[in-house]
Amino acid sequence: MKKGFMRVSLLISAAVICAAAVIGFIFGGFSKGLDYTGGTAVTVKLPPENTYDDFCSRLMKLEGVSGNVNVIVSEKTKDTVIYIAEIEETGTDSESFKKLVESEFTDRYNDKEAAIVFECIKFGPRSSVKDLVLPFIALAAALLVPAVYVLIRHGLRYGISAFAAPVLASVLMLAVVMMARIDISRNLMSAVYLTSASTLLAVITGLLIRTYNEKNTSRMKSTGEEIAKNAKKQVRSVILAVVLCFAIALVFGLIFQAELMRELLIQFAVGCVCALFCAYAAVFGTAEEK
Amino acid sequence: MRIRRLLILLLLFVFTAALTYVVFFGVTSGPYTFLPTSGLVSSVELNGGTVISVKVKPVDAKGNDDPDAEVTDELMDEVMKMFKERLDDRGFYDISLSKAEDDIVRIEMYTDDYEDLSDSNDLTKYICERGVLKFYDEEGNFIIDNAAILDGTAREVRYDDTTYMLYFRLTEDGAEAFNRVRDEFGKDSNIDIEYDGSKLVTRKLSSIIKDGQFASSLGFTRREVTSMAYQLNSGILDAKFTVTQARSIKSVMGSEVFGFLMTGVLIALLAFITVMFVRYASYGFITVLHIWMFSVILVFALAAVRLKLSPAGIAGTLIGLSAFMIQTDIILCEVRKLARANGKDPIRDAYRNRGLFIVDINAVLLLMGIVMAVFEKSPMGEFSSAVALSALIGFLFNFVFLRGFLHLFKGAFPNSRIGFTVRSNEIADAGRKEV
Repeated sequence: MKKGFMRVSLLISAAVICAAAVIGFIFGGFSKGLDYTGGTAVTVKLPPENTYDDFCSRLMKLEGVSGNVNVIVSEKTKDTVIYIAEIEETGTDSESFKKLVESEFTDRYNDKEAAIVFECIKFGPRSSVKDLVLPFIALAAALLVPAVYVLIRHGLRYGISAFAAPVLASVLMLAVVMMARIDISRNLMSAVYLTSASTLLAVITGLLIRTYNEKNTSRMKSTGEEIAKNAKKQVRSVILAVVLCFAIALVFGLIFQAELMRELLIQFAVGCVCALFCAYAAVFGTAEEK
Repeated sequence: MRIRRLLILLLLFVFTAALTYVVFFGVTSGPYTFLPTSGLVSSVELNGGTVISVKVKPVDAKGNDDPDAEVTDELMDEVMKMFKERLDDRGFYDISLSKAEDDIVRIEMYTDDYEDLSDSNDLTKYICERGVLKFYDEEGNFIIDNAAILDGTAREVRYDDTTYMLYFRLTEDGAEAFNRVRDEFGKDSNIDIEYDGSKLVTRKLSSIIKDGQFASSLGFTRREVTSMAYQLNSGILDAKFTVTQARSIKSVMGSEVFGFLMTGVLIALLAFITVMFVRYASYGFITVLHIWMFSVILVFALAAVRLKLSPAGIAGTLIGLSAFMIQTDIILCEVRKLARANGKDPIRDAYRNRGLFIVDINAVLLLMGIVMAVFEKSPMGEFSSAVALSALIGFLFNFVFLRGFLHLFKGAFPNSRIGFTVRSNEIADAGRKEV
């Protein structure tokens, strides 16, 4: 059963990672958000009749506009609102696009003074893949040191689990993000950190409960399988109680948040699922028969 | 005795409520307001910031506009690299730079993240100066410029509470040049100091150069001296800059995102407390007090270290809260198990059994936080602060305070009214199966 479970876990993980690799190869890696692609930034002052949604939908209908579009409110007064729209692809140079925006937003309201396009510039990527190297090195170091602590305190098997499970969970999370073509932004690292730290937490909790149960349960009265079963029950209930609470918070966030937040919350949610899966596999999949 | 314990519990609830008010709403006394949460720094995602477009113009060797020169990719790369160095040296890690058009650099920054950086003017002053320092003798002859400053030695020196001096070491050639001036004009001759084409001050040679070291106040504020020191360390920019647009931006994650986040976390905590009531009956009250106090103290501590509420900071705080909840649940579960087995002192025994569990969990998180803190930069910085602080405070609360709360609660209510009094068949079950 345990070997079977471990085998299935590894097969699922390998399948997800392979599928992500294939999809990543076909599409050229992750689906990159504006932080990694750059685009055109347009600053527009409009009369307040233009709501945020209005502005976004009219902007996206413009000829040549495609890819990601982020709209940020810069200033809002009683008479005007200034938006900074970042558009991944405008299909033309910035001057022509500025004219297109001017014609769209000034003609319709016939109020050329109220609608002003301040600036229209193309901007390059804010981050590159190189910028992710240091955060990943930091993560590896931050996982390795606690794993060494666990190794010294509880033995080699636990030490390896404490390092391998968070790494696998992070890789799985990234694979799912790649497969689902979720746009990545600079906030990707936050989701990776959340995934690996929650996996580490879950693994340590599970392993410690298991160790405690193994040490303190009389083998005269309980078989190894019963001990494992009790530990499993306890770990499940502890982790699920906490996960349930944060799932509520995540669902709340997903329902009510603005679009830019949604991507991050989805990555957080995917990360939590991967963390649970890997932690469970690490705690119970590798258990030795006693 | 029982009444005294009840009173202490009641006082603790009142104290926690008062603490919550102080931490979240603040207290005002005369002109002073003490509002700890103001120390929490919102990131650009939550709070908004400023976007600046800076146009780059090449200059000739003397620093004059060069109408024939074009902005090349190499110049733009050099400008971006030097901007980055100047920002990193100051610890302004989260200001992002991107190349816009062929000759424009787009800078996005936070407005309230750094003490020395309040608006776009400050930022352009820090990074957009060319950084050329020149010294002239009494007759207006050039003595030295940046080339004679030993690499990386420029820094600010605090002379007294009000005077800040610029300090750097000279190269051998630089020291030799000043020796020649001393021989020719005397040690009290005047030296004119010029920065980026503008004359700053005139000082006596003997008062600014000693043993190959430069130190002088130059009439600057601390901020200006620091800024100049960093610019001197990073080298000379071969371009001039004009700010073409500076515009503030509101939160990129929705205007009320902070409120939503707080509500989300509050809902999660309430859900957890409900779970605790379901699982541990009236001992759920203990978790209310315990989690409430922990959350308030944690917010206070995070504000004290000026945690940045970026997604990474929030992720770290969530991990800390989860770890805390897990520990609380484990301890209460153990107490209940031992109480059901009719243990003599279930609270003491539970801590004896699970004490190392609390140590291990918090040690692991603390180590993780400390290792990440070594890397300083965002997002490691805020994640590490949140995780490490949560671990430290979580350990204190679960190891010390929770034990105290449990004893208080146990002594304040008769056994028949608290959650762990169990039916006889349950005792038999628990005794047989668990112990």
